[in-house]
Amino acid sequence: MTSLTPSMGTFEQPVEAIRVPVDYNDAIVRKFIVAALFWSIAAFLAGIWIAAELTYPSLNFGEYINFGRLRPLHTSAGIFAFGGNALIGTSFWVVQRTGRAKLFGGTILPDFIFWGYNFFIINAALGYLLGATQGREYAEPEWYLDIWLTIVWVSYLIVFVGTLMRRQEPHIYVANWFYLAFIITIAMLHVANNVAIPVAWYSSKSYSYFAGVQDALLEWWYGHNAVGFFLTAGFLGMMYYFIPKAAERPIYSYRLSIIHFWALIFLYIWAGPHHLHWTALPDWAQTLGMVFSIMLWMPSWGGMINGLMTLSGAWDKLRTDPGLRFSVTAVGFYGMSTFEGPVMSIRQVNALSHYTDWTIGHVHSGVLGWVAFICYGSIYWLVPRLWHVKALYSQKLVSWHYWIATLGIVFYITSMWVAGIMEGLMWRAFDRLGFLQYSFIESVVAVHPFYVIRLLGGVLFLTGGLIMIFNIWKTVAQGSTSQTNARLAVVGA
Amino acid sequence: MTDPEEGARIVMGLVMLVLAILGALLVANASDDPMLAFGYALMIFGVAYIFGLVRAHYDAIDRAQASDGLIKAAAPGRDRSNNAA
Repeated sequence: MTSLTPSMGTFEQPVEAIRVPVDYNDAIVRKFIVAALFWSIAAFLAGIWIAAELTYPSLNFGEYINFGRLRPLHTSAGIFAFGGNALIGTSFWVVQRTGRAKLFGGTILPDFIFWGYNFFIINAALGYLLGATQGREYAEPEWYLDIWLTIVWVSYLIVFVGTLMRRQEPHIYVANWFYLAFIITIAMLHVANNVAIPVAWYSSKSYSYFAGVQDALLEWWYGHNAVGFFLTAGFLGMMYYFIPKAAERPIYSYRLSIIHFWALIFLYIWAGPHHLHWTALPDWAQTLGMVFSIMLWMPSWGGMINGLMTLSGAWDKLRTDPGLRFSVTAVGFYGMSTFEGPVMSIRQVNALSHYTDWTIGHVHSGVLGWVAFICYGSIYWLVPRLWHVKALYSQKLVSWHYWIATLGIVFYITSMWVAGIMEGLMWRAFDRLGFLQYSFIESVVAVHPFYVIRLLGGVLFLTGGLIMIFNIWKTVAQGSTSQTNARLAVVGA
Repeated sequence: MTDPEEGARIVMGLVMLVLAILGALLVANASDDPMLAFGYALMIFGVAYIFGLVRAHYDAIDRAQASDGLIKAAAPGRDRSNNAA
């Protein structure tokens, strides 16, 4: 704003110069970022262990840590614990900064969201290990935890919307639109998908209110939109704030970001039925899911182009800022996995890919390449600002993290592509007389080498994550040392 | 009241008290291990949260006194204000 307003300042002083500084609530963002980092390591460790169990089945000893119980722990730790904490933390940073308003709810409500959300995660994990599950993918926690999460999530919505309502900026920046869509839609999906009847008030077991194919459709309406609104919309909010900040450039096209938002919101919600191809679901519903999935190419690639083109004139920063390299690579993976997804939703392609490791490769190109990398880019940008230090402890370690993690992803997804397509081809191969050419166990033996490569990829990704933890630990320690010295100087004076 | 959040702390403390009692009830009546574990967790969560609220209450008093000049400087590591550098 360049106009001068006599009522708000002198004619010599632009209005911008008399802005009142806002006392932002950054303590809560710090908590969420630390929790996200902690849970990332837990998720990777669980992932590596279950990958090892698949490669060497003798590792499935004991009831508590067999594959069936650890697999939902791994997915929940990755998506909800690591991703969820990163999303809530960054959303609190973004909504305060773009609205120039302190977080709504004082310190009490945001603190409750932090402790309540992480209480949910710990209890969900504990429940999985003890065998409590609804058996619904990405919605495994039982009824009592679903109620708890609903309370926490509504509190989150109140804080986010309350902060938007007290903003000092007239415009709501597009990143907040994506975050808000993520919050509202996840609330709707969570409540609808978890309508269940407990066996008894003091029993953890419940049964879904729905049955048969309706239950399956509801589950995958939820499941796919957990991908669409948790793993996509929320992280796009992150992309639209942190990439322009790190690149020190405005978004390439703000208009395209609005089109990206509305097209994504409208199309994603219909795509769930593509998870139920070749099942009892009516053909028209399968076709509907497939067509909407293919239409999703447009907003997905529009968003990817918008993210990448934001670096126009700033590509040189990739040489000096490895944190930005994470974010830009994440956008590349976003484009790649949102191209692959619609391809896999085509019924004829799905006939080959479904139930194979191709799906696992596809999911991990999204969650490691897109979700984890955009988180890393954002966290590397945030940490020095949150802990008030000039720079990260080591840019070289960020670079090491980047290359090791990227190599890990490449090992992971290429091995799963090869394994998956091989499985699909082996399962559908017939001999001259019309008998199946291979038994199932032959396909299991055939994929073993690729499972070893996948395991190696996971270990590399974890190694990168540990490097990041070390780097951030040292960065924060730098900050606290200088603060302690400053305080001692004050006391001494 | 020196702190505008004091009332909110009391309400939250009451909510946590109810949750802790609910946790104890779940522990007493649980018919399976996951519910037993959840009951214990809820009870511990409620009690720990109340302790946290009590600590926040006294921290707020310390900060108010420090700003009034009654305490000259906080000891290193004691400043828990939101934007504590």
